Amino acid sequence: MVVIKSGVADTLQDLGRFSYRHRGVNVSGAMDKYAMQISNALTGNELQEAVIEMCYPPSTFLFTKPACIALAGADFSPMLNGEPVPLHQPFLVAKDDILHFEKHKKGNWCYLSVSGGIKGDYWLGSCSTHLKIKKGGYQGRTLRKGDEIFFKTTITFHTTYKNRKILPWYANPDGENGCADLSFLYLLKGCEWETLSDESKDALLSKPFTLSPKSDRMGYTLQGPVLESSLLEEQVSSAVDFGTIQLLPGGQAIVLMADHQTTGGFPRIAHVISAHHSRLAQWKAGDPFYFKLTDIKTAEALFFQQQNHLNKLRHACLLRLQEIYSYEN
Amino acid sequence: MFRNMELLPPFRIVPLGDSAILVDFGNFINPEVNNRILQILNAWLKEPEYYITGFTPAYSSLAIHFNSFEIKKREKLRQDVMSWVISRTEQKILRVPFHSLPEGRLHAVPACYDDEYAADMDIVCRHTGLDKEEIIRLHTETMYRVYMLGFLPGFPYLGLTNEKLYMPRKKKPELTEAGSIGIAGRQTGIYPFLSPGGWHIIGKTPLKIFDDKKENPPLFAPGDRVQFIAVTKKEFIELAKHDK
Repeated sequence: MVVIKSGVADTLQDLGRFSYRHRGVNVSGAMDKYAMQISNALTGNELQEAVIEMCYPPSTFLFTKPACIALAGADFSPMLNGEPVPLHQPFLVAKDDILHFEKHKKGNWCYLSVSGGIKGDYWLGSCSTHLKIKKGGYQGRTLRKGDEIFFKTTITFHTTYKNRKILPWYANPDGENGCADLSFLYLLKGCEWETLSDESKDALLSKPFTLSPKSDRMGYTLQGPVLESSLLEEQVSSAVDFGTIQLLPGGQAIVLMADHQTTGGFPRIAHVISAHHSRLAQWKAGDPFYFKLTDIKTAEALFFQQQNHLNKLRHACLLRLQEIYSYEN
Repeated sequence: MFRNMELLPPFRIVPLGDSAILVDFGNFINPEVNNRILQILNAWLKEPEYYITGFTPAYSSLAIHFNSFEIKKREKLRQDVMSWVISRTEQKILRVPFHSLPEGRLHAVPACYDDEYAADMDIVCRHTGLDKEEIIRLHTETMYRVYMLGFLPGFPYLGLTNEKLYMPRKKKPELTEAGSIGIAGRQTGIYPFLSPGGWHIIGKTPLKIFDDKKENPPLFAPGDRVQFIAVTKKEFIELAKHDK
């Protein structure tokens, strides 16, 4: 497939480069890993397969080969040859088909997976794009007009499905995974939670917050009440993670996202639970939401529910895909 | 300072979110504590566990990142996965011997303190009350320990600097060139890439701090030792040609 019109910041991403943290290398990976894995499950891929991550306005793609693809995550009104195509439902594309996106409806990150996988550059065990070092993904950079993305496999359709476009199964990512569209995020206490003043703890758990438009792949800046920690001096640097909420000097908080640094010296007041990372990543800047404290049992149960859903979905899709086409490497 | 188990500060193991734990010895910049972190890290690297996805060692703490779903599938647990990981880690740490680590590599790092590469030298002179020659002498006389890599890929946190060189961070980060040598608190470090940075810049090295073409890209590893060697601008330019 070829990029015929470039988007603002589309990249290749997978689950991340997580085994090189001890050398200071950022994890990177998809912003919404749940949606990314939904797109892979729908096309029968391994859940960690590399996909195209798009933000608005995204690229326009021309297919140079037939393929089975799926879109998941944000709704940018996808259109194939000018006709609407669904989100969270796989469809077949033919040579010369054009996929473009009409309008920003909902969410921040949309994922495109190709059944059988796309060929990207692997660096330190991951295909995620590291923009700073310019490695991994598509030549270590965002996609541009003229870029050609190759598929790992060629598919041959079985005759009965010759004229089929949209395949008759879909995912319901909002239903099955404890991630229905509710305006709260669950938190676990961070290592420096107890350094927050009582008023700040109350404010964090009762007042609405919004995401600043300044947010990016490194972190989402929170707008809301000013918080106070008794730790005035910066601590010696220590580990942080996706979802860690750091309190910056001045009382503003930031939630670390996919391209976060491996370590930091600001108080880690809390962590957004893994099962809510998807909800967080797709949250619209300016829309209010609330934080609620939860416990590790709940956090784990919600995460396992998502993972079970992804695995079941993938197995079901894989069986049905085998009736429709076969692969050639 | 901390010669054996009894004299090391006690550690605690706490959750870092729901998919990592932090083994934490407190807020220290101390070679013995940092050695203990590396002993623990090495023990895990030698005998990998199926559920571990990565490590983040720092000055006095070690994060162990894990895949809780893999544990859930494999172990028949009555408790939550987090408690299981914490108690397993605790037991394992108590068995990690205190034998000495192989001595880290020694790096002689050429550093040019010429005005062109030392954007913040004037501020450092004013803040410390020292002249440039004294700052260079103090910065080059100490053999530093690499305590950790972080902030940017391969960025070495070196310490401790002479207390006369103590500098606060900049109020607002400024764009800092690759190879720039900065100081902050009683730490010194080298920027591997062009990046916004909050440390005051007093020099520059021609060495490549992170070489993405190498299998192990960072020049330094925790436990290594670093000594800066002052070079002239002419020598810097000559060395830069060779390290391309």
